This record gives sequence, C-alpha cells and structure tokens, in this order.
Amino acid sequence: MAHLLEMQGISKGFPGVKALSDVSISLDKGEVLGIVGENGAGKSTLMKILAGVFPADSGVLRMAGETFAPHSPRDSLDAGIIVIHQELSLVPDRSVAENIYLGNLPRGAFGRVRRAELNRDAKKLLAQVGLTVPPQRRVRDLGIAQQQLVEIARALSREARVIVLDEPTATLTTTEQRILFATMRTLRASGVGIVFISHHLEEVFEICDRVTVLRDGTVVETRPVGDWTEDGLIQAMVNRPIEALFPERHAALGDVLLEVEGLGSGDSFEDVSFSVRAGEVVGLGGLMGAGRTEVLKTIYGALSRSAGRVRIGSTDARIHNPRDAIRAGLAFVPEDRKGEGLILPFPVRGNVALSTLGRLSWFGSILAPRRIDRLAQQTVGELRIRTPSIRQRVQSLSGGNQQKVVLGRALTTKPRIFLLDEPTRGIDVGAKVEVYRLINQLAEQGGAILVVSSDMIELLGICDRILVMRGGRLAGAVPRREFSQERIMQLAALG
Amino acid sequence: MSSAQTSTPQRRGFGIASITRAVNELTIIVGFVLISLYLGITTPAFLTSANLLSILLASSLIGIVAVGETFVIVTGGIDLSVGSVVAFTGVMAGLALNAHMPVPLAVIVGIGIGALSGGFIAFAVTFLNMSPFIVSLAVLAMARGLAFIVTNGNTIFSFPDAFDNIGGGNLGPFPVAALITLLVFLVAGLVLSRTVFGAEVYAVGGNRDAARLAGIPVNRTLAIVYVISGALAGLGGVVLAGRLDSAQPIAAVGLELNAIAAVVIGGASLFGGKGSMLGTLLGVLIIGLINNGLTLKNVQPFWVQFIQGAVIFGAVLIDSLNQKRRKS
Repeated sequence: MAHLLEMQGISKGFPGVKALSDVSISLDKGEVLGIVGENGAGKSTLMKILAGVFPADSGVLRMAGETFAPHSPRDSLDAGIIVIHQELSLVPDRSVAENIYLGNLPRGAFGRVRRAELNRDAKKLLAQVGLTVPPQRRVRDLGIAQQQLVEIARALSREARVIVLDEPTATLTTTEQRILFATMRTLRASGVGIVFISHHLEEVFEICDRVTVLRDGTVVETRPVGDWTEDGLIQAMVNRPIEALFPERHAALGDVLLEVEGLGSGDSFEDVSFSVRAGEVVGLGGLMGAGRTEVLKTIYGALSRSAGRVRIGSTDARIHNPRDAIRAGLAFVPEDRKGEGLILPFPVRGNVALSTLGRLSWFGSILAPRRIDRLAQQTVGELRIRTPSIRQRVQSLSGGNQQKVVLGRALTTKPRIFLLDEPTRGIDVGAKVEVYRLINQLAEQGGAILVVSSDMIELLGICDRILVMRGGRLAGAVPRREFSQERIMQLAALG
Repeated sequence: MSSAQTSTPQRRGFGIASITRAVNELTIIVGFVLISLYLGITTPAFLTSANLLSILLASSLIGIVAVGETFVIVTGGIDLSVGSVVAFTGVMAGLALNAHMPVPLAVIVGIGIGALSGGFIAFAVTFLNMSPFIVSLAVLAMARGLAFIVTNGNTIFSFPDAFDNIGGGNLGPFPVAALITLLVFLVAGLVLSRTVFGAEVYAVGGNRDAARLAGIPVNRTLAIVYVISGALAGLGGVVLAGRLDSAQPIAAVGLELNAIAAVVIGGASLFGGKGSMLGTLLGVLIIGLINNGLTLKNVQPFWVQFIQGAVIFGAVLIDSLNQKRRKS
C-alpha cells in the first residue's frame, strides 16, 4: 500500500549553502513521525518544501501514491497538509470560531457571516481537539497551548490528512504539553499522519512511532522509536568530523571581569549566575529559545533586568541601556547582523564610527571627517575587511565582511568584556576562521569573552568552558577537560 | 549619466550617511531647471524680479516648516501637526502683542509654544511608545482647537511694525522672511550633515535597533527632532502673522502636506535614514514654482489642490519604488 506521504530524494540549495541533499522520508496514516536534528540540520527547510513555501530543486512528493508538486502554500493546504509553526498564525483579536474558519467563513446573502452556524461547527471541532472554551472567546484570552489546539482545530476544519507540528512544545508548560499530546493521540487514532519536530528527546520517545535523524541536510537514519536509545539519538545528531579550524589557545586567565548573579529578565530566563575571567572564552550553549540571546542582551542593558545583578570587575555595574554598557567597557555583537548590527544603507565608515561619534568630532559635537576616515581605514585594515572603499555601502558586502564591520565597530570603544551572539552565523568558513582568531587574540589581550553559538563544534573548539542553558535556566557548566558533544547535547536537550 | 555619477561619490560626502547624495540632488536640480525653463518660455510674467521675489516669500513659510519636518522624516517619523501649530503659535504671539508684550517676547512666546507642542509629541513617541503618525494627528486637531478656543474664533490684528517686518518687510530688495528661511536652512543643513547630532538622526532613521545597540541615544535624538519641528512651526506662525499683520485660527490649513511633499520631493525617504536640507530646499522651491505657475496660468484653484496631491503621490511613489529596489 502506498504511504500517506512520501518525500523522496529531496534536495534544496540556497546561494552558498546546500540545505538538503537527497532526503527521503515517509509517513503512514495514523503514524507520528519524529524528526530531530541540530539547529540548521535542514528540518525547517524540509517542512517548508512540504508546506509549499518554496519548491525543492529535485526530488518527488507523493500523497497517497500520487505525485504532488505544491507551487504555493495554498496547494499544500488544498492537499490536506497543514504545518503549524512555532509562531502561531492566529488573529488575536478575533474569536476562536472565526480563527478556525479564517479565510473559509460560512457566508450567507451579501457576504454576511452566518454566526450561528460558524459557532456550532467550531464547537464540534473544539470538542475533537479536547478544548472546552466557548467558540466566541477571543483568542488573545487563551493560553499558548489552547491557541495551539485552536490551530489544530483549524487544521481539522480543512480536513487535514497530514499535520506538521514544528517545535510545538518549546513554549508550553507541562500541563499544556499533556493536553497537546492527548490531542495528538486522538488525531493519530482517527488516521491523521503527524510529523513532530522537537528538540526535547524525551517527548520524541513518548509520542513518536518512528524517528528520523537529520544532520547537515541529509538523513542519517530512520528507525522505529523502540530501536533508538537516547544516547544513540544524540550521537546520530551531532557526530561530525571536527575540522582543524580552531586556533591554539594560550591565554592566561586573570581576574574575574564579569560576574552575573541571580540574573533574570521577565519570562525569558531566571536565576542565571556565572562569571568570566580576563583571558577566558566562555560559551553559552543550548537550544534555540533557551534564553541565551536574552542573557547577553540583559547584561548589555538592551533588555530590562527583572532580578539579580551584574558586576564589572569588583563593582556593581549600573547598566540601564546599551550606552551605559559601552561606557562600562562592554561590547555586544548581535545575532541578527542585518536587523540589529548594521545600518545597511550606510557606508562602511558610517557604521564603524557609530559607537564613537563623540571621539570622532570636535568638542564632541562637530564631526571630524578625517578622524572618521582614519578610524574606518584602520578597522578595515586590522580586520581585513574586503571592501572596495570605506565609502562602500555595507549592504553590498558579503556576510563575512559585514560581520567584520560589526566586530570592528565593537572594538572601537576599547571594551574589555565581549558579548558575542552567534558571531559566525551565515558566514563562510574562511571568515569563520578569522573570527575565531580574533576571539583568541582578544582573550590573549586580557579580554573576557562570552559567546553564544548554536554550532556545538564551534563552542567546543574555541571555549575554555561551556555553560548550557535549557528552558531559561542554566542547566550546567562543562569545563574544557570534560568537553564532549554528547555531554552538551544531554544538558541542552534533557536537562 | 548615472554611471558617471555613481563612480565618483568617493570624493564627496562629509556626513556619516552620505554616499550617493549627489545623484539624488542632481535629479532634483534638473527637475527644478526644467520647470523654470518651461514657465520662463511660456509665461512672460514669470521671469520678473517681482514674481521671483514673491515665489521666495510664498515659499518661506513652507520652507521653515519643511526644515523641521526633514529632521523628523530622516528619523523615520512624521509630524502632521505643523500646520495647526503654525496657526496656534501665530494667534498666541498675536495675543501676547495685544497684551502689550514687547515684540521679541512675543516672538519667543510663538517659538516657545511651538517647542512645547513638539515636546508633547516627543514625550508620547519616546516615553509612551506611541506612533508619531497618530500622536501628531491628535496634536493637529488639538492645536487647531486651542487656536479657536483662545481667540473665540476671531482674527487678531494690528501688530506693531517691528513684528510685521519679520514676515512682510524687506531688507534691501529681499523679503526678510526669505532671508530668515535661508538662514534656517543653512544652520539646519550644517547641523544635519556635519554634527554628531545629525549623524545620530540618520542612524536612528537608518536602523533604530542597530543604532540603539551601538550606543546612540535614540530617545534623546527622537525627542530633539520633534522639539525642533515644533519650534520651527512656531517660527513659521510668527512669520505668517507678521506677513498678514493678523493671526487667524484658520491659518495654514494643510500646510503639513506641502511641507512633507517638499521633503519627499527633496529625496528624503519616509522610511527614514535618507534626506538632506539641500534636497528639501529644492523641494520647497519646486512646490513654490508649481504653485506660482498654476496661478500665473490662471488654473482653477480646485485643480491646484489636485495637482499638488498628484505631485505628492508621485514623490512618494518614487520613494517606495527605490525602497523596493534596495530590498531586492
């Protein structure tokens, strides 16, 4: 018998990256297929192809044996494939019933919405997913799990045959997760095929029938869940040859430069304590959404601190905004280079000068263009930024060179503490090596470095110590002599 | 033409955002010259010194207000309140004069009240995190309302000559108001292109998040631009009241549209991060030329409004096409 869904030999490349190569998965009626892999392994790309967001470069999709080539999300929806993303796509200020039938409302004469019918139908679907809220309730007033169930009810209203849940539990409490799983079991019993993507391995073991491991855009292996062990799964996810990318470390550790005690910020993380010494490179690992970026931003004053304190050297730092942080000797390189790091339409010189305008002017107020030029030239030279001129727009530079502009600007304030968020994301290997060397050099000059990265190999290669976060808390700290991918992954995914 | 221009910007640019400004301003100058040539050839009354000076005088109010609007628009914001603030500050200065306040004090009253109204917008935009579009729309209504309230809807008139000279007098052959406008442009041009504050204005408009993380005082910068815009609207109110020797609560309705149009025609982007005072000056003059030409050619006033609207549409269209191209 033909599978409910089959994706065969799927390949997909983006400029400069091979996202998927020759990936094949299958899904039967009434089955839950788990897909696991590190960040960047290709899970999202695969699901976007399924959802019709973009086409595969090669490979075939089949639904119940029939070839199926979605050209748009609409095509996939019509074929009964519903992808529920981590960020929900509900309209918060409309009712539950309206959201379920969004784009598909029952209409009477003159386009009037038939409310009674709408609410009656919605109620039936809500019962199916085990949600007991009135269909008239505004979505804004529901909890996250309830909202997810509304999404699933919406999927059912479209007669879904395949439902993809992309990291649905990342933001759920335990009770909410139980409700979701119960609903998944009901759906499975009614013959719907479910693809479940999660970083939380214990959930994968609980709910899935089979598990496929993706790594670097290829399928490592697919096995029934009973044939996997947790260790085996982690091994399959992370096992890669370590390239000789990382420079030797010779930095001598000095005094504690940055000390964080009981730090917390709103709902994103709490009770985080650690310290970083001069000359030390400390990694902050963990899964996406574990609160790593928020920790950096809170230290830097870009997010407000709700608990705890930050000490620079031996004094309590009063940091209320990034300006204070820079004055206190901190530098921050954001993860979102284009959105938060650079002013894209500005030239290289303008971007490099941003943090030190006061020094690059007469009386702190009238710009001194020669000084700006000199600083920009110096930065371009020291970091070997490949640009035709310091007046080139940063927009037209490559990712690696853009990143060097951000790093270069961070250095202009002569900081001693560096907060680097995914400093090598999306840049080529050559530029990566240069960034590693720079980090090393900063450490040797007595800098304290805290680096967030989703690339575990990278963390293992450049850090003296790795702190692992999970669900907004520190799950553990691993010193260099105990470094192993399995250890980190275990802390990150299992706690 | 464009290839010759884009290969040379390396030489130019003093400010922090400048690279290809030369190209934009050249296009505007070409448009300006074409309109002037057309009017000069087809309308004999155009190229008379009396007419040219009247264009300058008529452009001075839009010009002063457009300078403030340029600061605001470069940060990516907008100030819709300026027309009403011109009316309100005008009548307040008038009331001050009628209460026998000395002229300099009345001028300060006008500018100061304008700055206060800008400060109110600044407070709402920075502390309350409200959208400048909506806030300034609210202030547009409030300031107009206040202008009617304080005057009971009446016109205030008969001011001392010293006050009337600010808006209507001449210094040699030149209208004083036009000279004031040029001075405002000159100072603002230097501030925007050659000071740290100007660089911060561009940075905030170019990418607010990046600017903040780089240590730029984003809220302070935003607050200052709205105060500048309000204060210049106050100066505009003084100039207008002086020119007419009277202050009406109904004055300067729709002025904000002309000012915003001038800024956008001058090459500024409503998305922020782009624009210059020279561009705005040219934009103001183009609008002045168009208005003057329509009057000289006896075009019906109803059509004048329509054509002004069409010009604004065209300028914004070019802006968003540029934006699209930049993104892709």
